[in-house]
Amino acid sequence: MCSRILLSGLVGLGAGTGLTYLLLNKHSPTQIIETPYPPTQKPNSNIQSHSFNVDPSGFFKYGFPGPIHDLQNREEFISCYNRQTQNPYWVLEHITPESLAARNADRKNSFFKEDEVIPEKFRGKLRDYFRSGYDRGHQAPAADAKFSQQAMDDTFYLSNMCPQVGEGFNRDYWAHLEYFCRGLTKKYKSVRIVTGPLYLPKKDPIDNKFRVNYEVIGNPPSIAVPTHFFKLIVAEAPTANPAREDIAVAAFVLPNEPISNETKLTDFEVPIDALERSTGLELLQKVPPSKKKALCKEVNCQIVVRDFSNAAIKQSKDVKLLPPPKKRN
Amino acid sequence: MFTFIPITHPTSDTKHPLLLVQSAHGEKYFFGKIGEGSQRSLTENKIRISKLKDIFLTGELNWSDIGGLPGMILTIADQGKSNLVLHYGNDILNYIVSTWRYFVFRFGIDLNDHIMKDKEVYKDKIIAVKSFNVLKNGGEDRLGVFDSFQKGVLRSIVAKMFPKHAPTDRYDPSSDPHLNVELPDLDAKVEVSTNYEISFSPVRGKFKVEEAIKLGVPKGPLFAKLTKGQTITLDNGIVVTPEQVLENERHFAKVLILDIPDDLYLNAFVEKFKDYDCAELGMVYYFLGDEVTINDNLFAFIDIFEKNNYGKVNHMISHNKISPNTISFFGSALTTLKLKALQVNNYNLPKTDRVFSKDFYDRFDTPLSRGTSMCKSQEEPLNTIIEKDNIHIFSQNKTVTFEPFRMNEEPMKCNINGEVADFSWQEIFEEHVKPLEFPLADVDTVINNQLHVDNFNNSAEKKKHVEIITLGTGSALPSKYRNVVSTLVKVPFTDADGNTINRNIMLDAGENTLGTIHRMFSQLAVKSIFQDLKMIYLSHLHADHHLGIISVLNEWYKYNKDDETSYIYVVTPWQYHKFVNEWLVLENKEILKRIKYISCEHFINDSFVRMQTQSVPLAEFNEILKENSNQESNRKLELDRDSSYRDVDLIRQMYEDLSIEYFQTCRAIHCDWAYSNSITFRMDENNEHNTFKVSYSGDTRPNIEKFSLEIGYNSDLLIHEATLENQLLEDAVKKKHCTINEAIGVSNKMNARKLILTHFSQRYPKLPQLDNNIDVMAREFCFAFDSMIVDYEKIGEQQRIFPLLNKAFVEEKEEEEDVDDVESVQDLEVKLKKHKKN
Repeated sequence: MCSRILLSGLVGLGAGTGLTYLLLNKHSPTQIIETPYPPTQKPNSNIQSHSFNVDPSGFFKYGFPGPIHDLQNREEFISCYNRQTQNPYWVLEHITPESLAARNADRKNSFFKEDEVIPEKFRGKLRDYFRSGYDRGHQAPAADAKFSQQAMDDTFYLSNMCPQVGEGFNRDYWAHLEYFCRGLTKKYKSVRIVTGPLYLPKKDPIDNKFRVNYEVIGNPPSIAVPTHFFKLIVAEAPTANPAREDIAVAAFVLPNEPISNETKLTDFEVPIDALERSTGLELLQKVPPSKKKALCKEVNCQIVVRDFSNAAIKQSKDVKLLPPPKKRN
Repeated sequence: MFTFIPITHPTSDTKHPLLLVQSAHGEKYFFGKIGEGSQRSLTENKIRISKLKDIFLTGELNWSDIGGLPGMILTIADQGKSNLVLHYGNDILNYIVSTWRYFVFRFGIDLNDHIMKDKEVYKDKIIAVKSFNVLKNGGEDRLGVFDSFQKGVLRSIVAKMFPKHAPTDRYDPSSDPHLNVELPDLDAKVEVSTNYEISFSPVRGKFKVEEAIKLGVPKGPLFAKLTKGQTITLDNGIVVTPEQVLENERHFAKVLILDIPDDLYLNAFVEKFKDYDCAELGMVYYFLGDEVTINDNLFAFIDIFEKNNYGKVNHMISHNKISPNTISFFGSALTTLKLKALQVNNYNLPKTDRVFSKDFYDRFDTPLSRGTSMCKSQEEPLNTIIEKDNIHIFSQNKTVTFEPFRMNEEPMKCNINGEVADFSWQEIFEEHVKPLEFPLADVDTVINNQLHVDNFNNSAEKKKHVEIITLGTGSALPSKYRNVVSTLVKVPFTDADGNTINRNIMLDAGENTLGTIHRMFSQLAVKSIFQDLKMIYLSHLHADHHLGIISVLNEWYKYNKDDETSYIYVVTPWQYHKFVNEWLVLENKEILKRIKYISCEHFINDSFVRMQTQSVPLAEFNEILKENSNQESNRKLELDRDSSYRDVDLIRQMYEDLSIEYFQTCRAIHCDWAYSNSITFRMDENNEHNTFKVSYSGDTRPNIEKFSLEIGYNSDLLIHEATLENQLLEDAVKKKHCTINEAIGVSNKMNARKLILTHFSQRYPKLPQLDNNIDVMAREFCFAFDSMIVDYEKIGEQQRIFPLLNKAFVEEKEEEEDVDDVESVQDLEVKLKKHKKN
């Protein structure tokens, strides 16, 4: 459960797990970026492949297989969808003191919905979550998008969801972590958060080999249940010194399981480098190391459980709980 | 000078504050709560209490508040202390002590209770203690709940529990009405909190010799008279008063000890203390219950005590969201760490994390280590006039000394010392474990990768296996390295749909078993353990086996109360059931509705079921006493005929609820009403041949005939007491325990597949005798250590580390040399309570 396990667990992970890069096109909201049809390669002069009638790229005339990363550009966040796991790869959002101060949306008016831009066969379905035992866990939380009803509604697309353990995680510790992120806008004028799932290898106690093991929900099995989740936090423009160019960053990896509130948040902190290796994503690569400050040295990275409004937190967190799982038949 | 030394503060395994007040000459007083683990804290910190005179109990008296008291009384009595006074503001105290009559019995100690009226002052030559009784719902103090007849009976019972002289051989508990009388009914929970103001006798001023001579006083007896405060007249008629020749007397600051059990008391406290005279007040201790909210309301009350005549009053706050969750039993934690270094997956790193009050720590700008989880109970910052310098956090090392000062001339003298030292597992590892050079034991493997790892029931594999947690593995009384005995067995069951359902069974639960669980597991893990807890079994009435049960029942209720269909099976000797009833009536009647009790006797492998003694109705108590005093021989009390019929319906229901195939007990060879047991669990609804048979000896001499060859034969697992080393066979016979070889012998004859040895004499604090034992026929076996989690399939893995175990405890061995023999203190007391066979 400790993040350090994750690090040691990563040792020995082979290369080749990296995902294809994405190019973000900010000008085309909800556009699906298709990888361009690759040009037919020139025959190699040394190997006379044509003389053997070999032309691998000829396959493309039947269609390029992908992968395709469905990129959704919403008001408060951008999500990148993984059709294989039917989870997002990542969801990135932007919150500011102003955006959180505005209260123009009510959660009661928002409903979980399938993301119909994604082809039906790759789309996460409401019925897949039904009685799965997992919460439909927002990656970009609804509470970060109160500035407009549309922005909040957008957070309810299933392309912004991962199956998360409810009690003890999504409704508790994870919610406290989201609250911590919002709290950062008291000290920074701009906070960017990247959130997403992880499928981490674990040592098998029997043969001491590392394996990735995760549940898949739905019938037929469709949506992967992540073993862990990450949050990368980038805090910009400290209120005390808005002109500062340095950014304050922290990355956390939490297991998708109940976590007791007394657990220190800092115990889940990981180096960004480790998060890159386990997600296959490149994170903040354009920022020189000297410009990256440790967020947890500037603020106390801790969760704060609000006792006085415990009921309120639970309500706002997930009013539309799914029924409990049916016993297996 | 007086020193206030905290013995315990709220942590995972010492739930409440206990304060030792000590005079310069060593007189000792306790103020506060004697929670479970208090006695062990004294041992841990090498604090002797031979000069303890008085215990002033504060707050309410729930088990959690005073669960450590019966064990402590037994130990104090055995150390030869002759008198002790318990002070409290309500006569419910007598009822409480009376409920212990089935298992607390000591002669030679004069234990008295002193019920203090509101504002009553108790005085000895050193100290004056004034009580403040605060009723939860306000209103006038009724002082007591019992009428004079009931009071008389209760006092008579308490007196009988602590007689001045040893009873004669002819004493027969089964015919003693004191033991068998029903206690008075309680119609409502007693909701009163007792609080105290402590003042110390002033020290007279210095005698000014020169001044006296100047006034013409001759040296000699007149000097003495003056120092005693008498006015004298010299031969020449001049009158000399003491004030002329004595410096002003020196006073001590007053101290208030306030115990607020929950928020609903707060108004009554404000009402009681709003006009309190703070003139000489130096320090206020606030013992706050876990449920007290740290908010403006609380501090509005604390603000009452802001100032005294000399400046600011100091405030010492004890609360589970304010005091640190430091390791209470370091010796034990270090043992666990060393064992973990050898078997990393068999122990959890003891927990020290806790959720702290952000309201408090922000307001008083007190640093906590980074990342610490906090909770907030109000939106606005905490509002109080108390300043940071005057607020202090109650914790074990926060000692306060009060020195005398001249009133109105000097500042008040009240010195607060001690800070909480930084705690780091990594540093402890470097200092104590690394030098041992265990193979593969590096700080990453043992500490860093294990910080939040729960090694119980944590893998798909283990979820299908039986697991055992030996929570406590010592005998007699809690010691530094081993707590008193308790074992938790998790037996999974696969239902027809393939779901796994856990049945956690607790076999005995000595004092502070719950504390051990809380130290081992996160809050969420504790919850799941208790939701799976289906049965508590008690082998016999010795205090070291059951003083933790009430807390375990309370905790079970906490996590199961919302599921009204859930209940817990409690299988105990009948006397203990009477105690549970009497106690829970006092504390929480609702739990009683959720307990399904079956007497151990009803599982006996015998056609003959012994009858229990019929309770004596309260009204007939005096009559019987009178009768007995007139007659040569005492009237034999009636037996409860119904008790000889096994409760077949309930047993059948238990079999069904817990998928048990068979449950049997046999009489243990130990004390009266002592049992060994054997339970066969079904493991798989679809496969009736898949069973698991576990046998537990309780305390006993080897019992081949009944235990090995009858009820326990072919057990999958035997958990057996192995109190003494093989050379001490004589002691084993005398104390009715087993040597290690004898225990192995029982296992061999039983044909047990696997064996766990436990309940070691505190004579061997760390390591039992590992070698020179007879061969174990079981396929695997191990020695139990406190907090050990062991997968049934891997019990034998411990054998690989035997060669390293001796090396592990070199530093403790050196310390051990000077420890007295502490064997067998608590487990002797029922010796005299022999019920004759019916």
